[in-house]
Amino acid sequence: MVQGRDERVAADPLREALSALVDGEADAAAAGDGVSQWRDDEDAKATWHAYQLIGDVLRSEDLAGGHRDRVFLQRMHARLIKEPALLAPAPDLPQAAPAAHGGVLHRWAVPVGLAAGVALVLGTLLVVRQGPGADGAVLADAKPVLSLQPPVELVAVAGSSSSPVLLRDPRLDRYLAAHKQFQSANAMGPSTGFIRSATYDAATR
Amino acid sequence: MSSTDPDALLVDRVKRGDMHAFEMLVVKYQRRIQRLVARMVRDTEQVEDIAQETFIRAYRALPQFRGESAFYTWLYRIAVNTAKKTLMDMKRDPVVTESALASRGDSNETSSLENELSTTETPEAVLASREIAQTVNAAIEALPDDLRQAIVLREIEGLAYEEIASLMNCPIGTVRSRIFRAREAIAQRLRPLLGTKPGERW
Repeated sequence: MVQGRDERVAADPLREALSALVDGEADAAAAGDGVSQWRDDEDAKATWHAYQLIGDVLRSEDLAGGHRDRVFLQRMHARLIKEPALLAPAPDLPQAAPAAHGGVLHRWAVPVGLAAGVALVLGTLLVVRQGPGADGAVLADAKPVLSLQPPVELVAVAGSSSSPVLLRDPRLDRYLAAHKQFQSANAMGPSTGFIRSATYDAATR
Repeated sequence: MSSTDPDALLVDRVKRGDMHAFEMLVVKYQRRIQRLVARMVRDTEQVEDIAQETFIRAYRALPQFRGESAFYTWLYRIAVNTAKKTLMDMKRDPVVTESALASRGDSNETSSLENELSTTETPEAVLASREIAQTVNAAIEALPDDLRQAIVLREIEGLAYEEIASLMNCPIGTVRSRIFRAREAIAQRLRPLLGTKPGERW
């Protein structure tokens, strides 16, 4: 009889936090810690997978696979790293206000390849369409549009140590300054009103 | 929002550019999405491709997801649309249709059995899945009552910690601990079955 088997489960605050994250019963800081744990630790990846698989199997035994899950994730990872970064404002980035800082921001020429990459990001953001009804029930393919002419002089805004460097086009900065909702620390990302009003006119479809 | 949708925390992080948080959601939902797609698409080789496409589309569209439904509901819709689109594209492609028709029309017993099993469901994989299911069931039965009740209320009844605490008449911290210990006890038995071979990693 394996009574008291749970006594063999050692207290493990990190894994217990991961378990709470499985259930969404954590705060934002703990969620960040959990993701970092998953990112940095192979065992944490295996644990997250095992915890999720347990839930699936409890609800339905025909989800008891999990053998090809690792392969699936590796393929997804290869595709995801090619995607342009999701352009959502991060609260810990310094505000980019070129006029106010009077020359403090450093400008330097950026290779055309990188400029094209940024153009791709901007183009992707600006042409994504909002279908009828909420939450993208009708999805359009986000076709990248090269909206900038290379060479473009880009401003590199140094992020804090925990966030990546954000490259900005001065024209985008002026546009964003005019649309305050993008500048504010909005945890939900850019409002769809901003996206809709940016350059896309639904009437011209 | 976090009290209603367990995925809200990770979704918020994805919106702020955290790709790893999205990968964690992939690990969570890949099996369910593949099962859903497999019900709609006969060509089993395409199931994984369509599932991958679903996740990519979700990733791209996430900036517009405002949490008016649960994340999984939204993801489910994307999967259905993606599978439908693939089916429509297949119908328009005469070459694909012919070969698909050819395999379906084959009355040979062996090949019809092969059609039943997906490319991922080799006999070995079927046995392994059965072993996983049996291991989980045995582990659940071996749990002390309070741990089993906690994890069943969470995973099968879908109750929040607060609701479980109320039902089990204990503090929320105790619920959190019991669910964790239940998961770990089951995971300990599962890890040998899911174990990484040397050189394999996530």
